[in-house]
Amino acid sequence: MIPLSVRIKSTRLDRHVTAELLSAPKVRAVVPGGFASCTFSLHRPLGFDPDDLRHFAQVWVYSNLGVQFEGRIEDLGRTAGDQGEVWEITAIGPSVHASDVMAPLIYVDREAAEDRWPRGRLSASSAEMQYQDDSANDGPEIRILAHEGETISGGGVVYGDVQYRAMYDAGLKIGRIRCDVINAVTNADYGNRIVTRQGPGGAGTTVSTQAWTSGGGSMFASLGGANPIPAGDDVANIRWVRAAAGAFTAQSNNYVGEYSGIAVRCQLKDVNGNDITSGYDLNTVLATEVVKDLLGRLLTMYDGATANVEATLYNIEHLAYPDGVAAAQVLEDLIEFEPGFYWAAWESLANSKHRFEFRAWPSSIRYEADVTDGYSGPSSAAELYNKALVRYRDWAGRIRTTTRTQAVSALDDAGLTRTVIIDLGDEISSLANAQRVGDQKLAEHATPPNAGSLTIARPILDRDKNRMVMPWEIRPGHLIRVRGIKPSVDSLNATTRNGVSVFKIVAVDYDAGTGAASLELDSHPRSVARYLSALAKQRQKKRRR
Amino acid sequence: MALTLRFVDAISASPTLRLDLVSAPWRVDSTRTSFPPPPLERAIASTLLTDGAQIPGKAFGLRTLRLGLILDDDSPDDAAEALRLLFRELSRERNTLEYKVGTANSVFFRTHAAAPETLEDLTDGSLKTLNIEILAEPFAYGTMETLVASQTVNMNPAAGSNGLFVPITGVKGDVETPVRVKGASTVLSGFQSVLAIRRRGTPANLPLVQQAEAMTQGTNTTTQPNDATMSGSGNNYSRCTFTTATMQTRLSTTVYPATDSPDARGVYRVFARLRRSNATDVINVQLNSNAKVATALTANIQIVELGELAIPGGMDPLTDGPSGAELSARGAGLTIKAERISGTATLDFDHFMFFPADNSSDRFALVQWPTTTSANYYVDGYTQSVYATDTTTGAVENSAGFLIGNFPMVTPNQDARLYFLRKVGSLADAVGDAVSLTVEYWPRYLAVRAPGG
Repeated sequence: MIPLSVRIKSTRLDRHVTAELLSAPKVRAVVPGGFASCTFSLHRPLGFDPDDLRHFAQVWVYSNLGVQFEGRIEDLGRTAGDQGEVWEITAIGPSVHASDVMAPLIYVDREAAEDRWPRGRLSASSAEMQYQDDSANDGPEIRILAHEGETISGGGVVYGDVQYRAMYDAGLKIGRIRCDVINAVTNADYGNRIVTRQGPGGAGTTVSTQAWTSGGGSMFASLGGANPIPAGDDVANIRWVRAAAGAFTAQSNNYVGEYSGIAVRCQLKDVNGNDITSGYDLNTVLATEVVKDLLGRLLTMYDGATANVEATLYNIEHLAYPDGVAAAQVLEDLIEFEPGFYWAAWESLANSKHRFEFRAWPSSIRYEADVTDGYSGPSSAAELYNKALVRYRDWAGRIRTTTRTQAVSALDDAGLTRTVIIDLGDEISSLANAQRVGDQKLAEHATPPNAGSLTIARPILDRDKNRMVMPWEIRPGHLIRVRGIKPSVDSLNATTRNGVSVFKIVAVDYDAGTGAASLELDSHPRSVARYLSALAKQRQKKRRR
Repeated sequence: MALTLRFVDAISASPTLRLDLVSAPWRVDSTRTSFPPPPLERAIASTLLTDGAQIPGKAFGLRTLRLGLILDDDSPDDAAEALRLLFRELSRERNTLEYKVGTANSVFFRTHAAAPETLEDLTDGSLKTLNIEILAEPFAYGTMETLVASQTVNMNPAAGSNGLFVPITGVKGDVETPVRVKGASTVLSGFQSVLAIRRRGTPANLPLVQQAEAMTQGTNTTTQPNDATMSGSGNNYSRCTFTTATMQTRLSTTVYPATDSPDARGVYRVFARLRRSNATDVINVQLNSNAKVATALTANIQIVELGELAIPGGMDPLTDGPSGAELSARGAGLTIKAERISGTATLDFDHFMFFPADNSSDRFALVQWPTTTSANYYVDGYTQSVYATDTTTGAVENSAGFLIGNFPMVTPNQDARLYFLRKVGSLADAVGDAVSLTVEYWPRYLAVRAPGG
């Protein structure tokens, strides 16, 4: 017998059902995601709800060495036919939790459109706010100006003021804010300020100032850092004031403050859900920081304290979801920036939370196998691209595109140009972000993928465990070296022509009925089911506030 | 040749008769009666890339019992009454059919509901013949046997006998069989225990325990004078003071076990018996390249699972080519690392335990015992359940035990050892603790039962 057992635990009953199964369990694990699904069938009367077969009952598949699958019953299908009364069970793994939890999240916000920085209530009625492009950097800027002849109150009274309350509306706090500033003239009677407050009506604290100068400058403030932002502040204002006493009538149109390069970061949480009160020195955020924040803020069913979250390098310039987003979507977006990473949720630990990892694909080979039990590896040039057109929405809210190219000898030699279209929606809009995603996507499609499906029906060597492992023990998210295949040259098989190929394992399907595991390699194999799944997961365009 | 063929109420040495098929008005026609062994169903995977095929899994299917019966009664009405009694037995969802053909011992088939394939009247209705096919569980059962009768398992691996195990010998039957392990609520209630079985080779040679003080002492680690709460004699544990608090090798041995042996081969789940000096500091422990494990925040002695160890590891051919002669396995190196993230606590190592958990024949489980009182607790491999019964009435109680892993099984004509560690997790047994266990089973047969079982 295959030494696996199946256990179901509902709120009313906890039992092993191995001997009662009508069909052997089929277990699937994928990256990103982790334990994905387990299906099996049982005989139970259809006339009432069995105590053990309840929605969200826990399901485990065990071996001697521990948990081979863990999940909760999501689908209960009932049939009556030549097999009698049958319940078809589908349990979904803990990865579904990432799609269950949603919230508005703003990690870095560089938008400077009017709906993000509307006119502040303290602005003089004569003050004009203009939202336009910074002619120097093709980025957005906000101009606050007093026209010739307008009266400007003195003594520090606010003249022109724009307010940012997106963090407050999202239930977040400000961790850092900055902007560049340039004024039409240098004048010591006037000053630029950043003010923060708790709530739109809270008392304001001036956290950063910059004297009026035509040479330009910058302002910044951060939580727990230089120019400290008071803890709990979630609303910010950018303004200029006449600091000198007495009112003044503008003699020209030179009473202007131009604010560009605006960036607002939220206060992050650590993996335990505690607020991080310092360390907001940069105007960007790392994927690592976002993952840890998700673990502490939303993904409370994953064990943040023991999570393996590896360090990333790319500085994300803009990542904002003011309309709300599922944690799974955020993780998916992070992988667009860091395609060498994946996330996965696995078995639960002693504290009932699931083991979680956000890690880089390993560079060392874990499994050794050959093609004896079966292999299928279509290699299509349809996956080759030498150009990418990336659509995004910029900081001013306009639809923009950027084009990226790469050299692909097969296409270039044939005089062909193939373009992949990437739609980034509205949430991760910046030119740098779009370029990054475009370059990463092209890199994945520079050579025909070493995709395919490998069947394993016998023990194979696991270098990490240093022993032979059974087919049900093979995990996705690792590299496998397969003997007997001439490889396509790619990043994993740069030069070799010796009949050995290295692949990424992206999914493992184990069928206890056949005792064999089917490994999906590199990219998912071309199947109708896979294409339909991809279409269903296509990015939904988010509506901006 | 004397034949016993009758429906009874239970698998027992003296079961209550329900219907005898070899006494009037029933006779058995041996030419139409057979009890073929169950089919062995196998998954076969093959390609043309190699000769032969793989058998990733196999299991016996349901057995088909074929009965050819003759009903010879005094009158048609009497015959109808006899048929009714037979049909009632056949239609029972589950029934027990006792069978003995000239042997000393009966075997029992657990049958499923059935109906006659044919029913012929030969005369006026008082003489009939029937052919019946009955689906039954794959194996015939013998009466319950006790493998281990209230034997003491000492929680001290250095005990003179039965340190963390009980031996199992004299397993009867034709094929492997589940066992039922019984213990008392007074000693098991609410604990989580290790329950493992090694049933190949010479289980006594399994490398079960490595004492810390017998290992090479590493960074900031030295053996300590005898402590009665630790196992062993003389200096019987090691202490790490964490002068260097980062992850360092604290204990090591170049090869464990020291003796090459086929019985050393396997995959083991490794547990450590440890003690911290306080309940607040963060201390992690790591075995070889396994993931590091946090120790529980307690100053009491605790059991910590460190992960798995494979012996010999790597690509293991198992046998000398196709000869079938099993090759010895050389032990694996052990490196125990530890780090103290915060505080000033020390960490004491008593010993490390290696419980068999490979995929070939071992059985391993973590058992969470129920919490009902005045009860007997069972881990039942036959019904695949963990439950409690009242010690007085035997009634099954509403209890919340469960098992993580595989239910225990034994193999006939193969000595075994049942390994048991009563407390794991943030708890640990005292070295003087002991638990009494009983192990019972129903031998399983493909045909009939031989005199020796």
